[in-house]
Amino acid sequence: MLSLGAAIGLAMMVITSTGDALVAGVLLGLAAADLAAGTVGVLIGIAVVGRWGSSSLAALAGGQAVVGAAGWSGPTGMVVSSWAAAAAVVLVCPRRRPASASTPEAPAGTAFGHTAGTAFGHAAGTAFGHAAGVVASGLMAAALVAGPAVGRETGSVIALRVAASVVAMAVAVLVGRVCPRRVARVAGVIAAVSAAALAVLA
Amino acid sequence: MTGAQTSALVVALVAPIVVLVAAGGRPTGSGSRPPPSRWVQAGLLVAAGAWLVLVVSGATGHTGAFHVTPLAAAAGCGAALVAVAVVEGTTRRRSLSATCAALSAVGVSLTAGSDGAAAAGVVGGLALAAVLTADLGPGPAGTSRRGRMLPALLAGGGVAAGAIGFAVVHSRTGHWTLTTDAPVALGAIVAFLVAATLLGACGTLGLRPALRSGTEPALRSGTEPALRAAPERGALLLAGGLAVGLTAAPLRVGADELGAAVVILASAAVVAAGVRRGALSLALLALAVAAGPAALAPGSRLLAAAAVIVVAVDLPWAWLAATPGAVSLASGVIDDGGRLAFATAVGVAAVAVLLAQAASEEGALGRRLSLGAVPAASVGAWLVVAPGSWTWTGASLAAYDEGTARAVAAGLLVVVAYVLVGALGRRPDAPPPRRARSRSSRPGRSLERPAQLVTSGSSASTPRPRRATRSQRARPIGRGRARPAKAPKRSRSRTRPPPSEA
Repeated sequence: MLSLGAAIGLAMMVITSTGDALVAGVLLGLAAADLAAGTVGVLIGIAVVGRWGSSSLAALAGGQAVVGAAGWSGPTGMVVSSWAAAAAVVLVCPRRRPASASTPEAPAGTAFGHTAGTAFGHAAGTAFGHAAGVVASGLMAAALVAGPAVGRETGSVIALRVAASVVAMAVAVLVGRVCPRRVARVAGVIAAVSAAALAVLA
Repeated sequence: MTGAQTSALVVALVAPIVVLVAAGGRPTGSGSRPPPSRWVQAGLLVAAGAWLVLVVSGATGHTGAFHVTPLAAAAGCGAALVAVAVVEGTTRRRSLSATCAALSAVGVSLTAGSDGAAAAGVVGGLALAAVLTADLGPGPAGTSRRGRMLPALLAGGGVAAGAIGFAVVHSRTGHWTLTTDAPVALGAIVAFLVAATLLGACGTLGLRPALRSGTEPALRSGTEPALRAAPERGALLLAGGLAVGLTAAPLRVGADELGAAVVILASAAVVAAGVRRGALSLALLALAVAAGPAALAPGSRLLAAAAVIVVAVDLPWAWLAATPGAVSLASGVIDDGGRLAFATAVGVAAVAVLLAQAASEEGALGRRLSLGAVPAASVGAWLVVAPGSWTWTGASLAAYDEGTARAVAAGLLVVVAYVLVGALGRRPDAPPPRRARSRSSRPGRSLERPAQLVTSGSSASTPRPRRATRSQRARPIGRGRARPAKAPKRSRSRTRPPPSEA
């Protein structure tokens, strides 16, 4: 439940471009229920601070509305930092937990809200929470590279930002299926450290 | 101060004593009567509310021999909330009396003096509180007298350091008062920081250290002796000590005068986080940040508030209360841009990682929130969601407030809708979830599960045990599934219930 609520809250913050990037990082860690994800989130917050001079997501959106998308505008180091941050978010995206580990009695393929024998449909909740986590991570990754898809800057390149969000979600799903969890976590932390270092030093 | 604020101050100082006298005549809780600790908690909540009125109204000024600052009022409110958690489940009248009297003493130490913190009030109040919170009597089995002496020694050292600080102030200025508009010598500030550190250590020493690696079996079998949710009485000293440190630290003359103190305190905070002492770590961080650049001052107050809340709640997720302080600190580091601020930020980041790791490990045990900690937890939730409304801290967190409010609202809406849909859409033939959850599956009692499974499955003479429900099965803390442990042969005799119980 906490992970689901954190994922929804993170998505809401990113969509509306309100809130703080460091808080978004904490929510990312809670959504993934993973220390590595939380660390990556905070490092990305530091990267945002290093590039835009503020940890506010509104500043992130406003800055990209003025100078262009972070993924292809500005100094090379900053551009690389943005892409590394987005990659880190996608790599530590919340994953679906195996049903056998936590809910041994849960039948496979139970529908949402109709899970007999399990309180409040834990298996379905895992899938729902996973989907929410993927959506939130995709939105956050897209916001780091191309700006928020909806919200305050709806008048500009909205299609591009929507496409970036969809692509980021698809990549998150693909990484979750192809890349082993441990490898993805290590790669995500490395990418986040690189993003923060580039943003602060460049 | 207005008349309402003066009344609130009187109520805040007197309410603990009044409720102590009122509860003293009540018989011990039996039958339908609530226990005396509940009456005391109600009175302490009145005191906390009075302090809160002073904080929210921004009370500043003096009345008679007492003065109020927002920081002092906030510290008093925090001490009262801690006291509510301390008396949870306490049945001994002596403990209740000592807690109430100690809270009043802490309140006097925070507000004594007409034009600032007076030496007699601060030192006398804290000394009285230290004596009242010391527990040198016969303790429970397994606790050494030497171990119970340590908090008293720390409290005594803190009070002595505070007295030294006032002596240094008197030697330079000729006054026995610590005013916020007059610079103080470096030696006095160091003495006050030492006093705050020692009192903070005393205040957090009674807390159960978070789960260490390798102690899961002991905790699950219930042999770990220190599994308690309520803090010790010494926790009352934390708020008073932090108030002394946060009041004195900004009075330095130069910007980087206390650079060494910042590094030492931040390093100590990292070490404390490494040994899973979350509250102590946050308290030390608050003092380190307070001794740092002035731009970080709001962060230090928010971190101090988080430390007090962590002491009262004593659960891993309470460490989230440090998030606003960390965010405020980040903006302060951006504004300052100095090396000292950067070093402080590094210390905060290290503490955050260590505490997050500890929380992720201990969270699997799922301890419950005690009733006495609910008020402090509510204030902690307020701190996490809307720290910008804590104007006494001086933090400017408008973006944080807006985003977090939306995130919490959206998350709660979806979670509530999800729960409702899940409850309404359950099949009629499905057993209700509460029936599936046995009484022993409560998190607070879940530590006994493995032993129960082992003993019931190993007894050959007892009837075949029913299949354990999902909630009764042993769950792994880390990855993978738990394997059923082999039962020791000695335990067979214990599994048979006595005839009376059978």
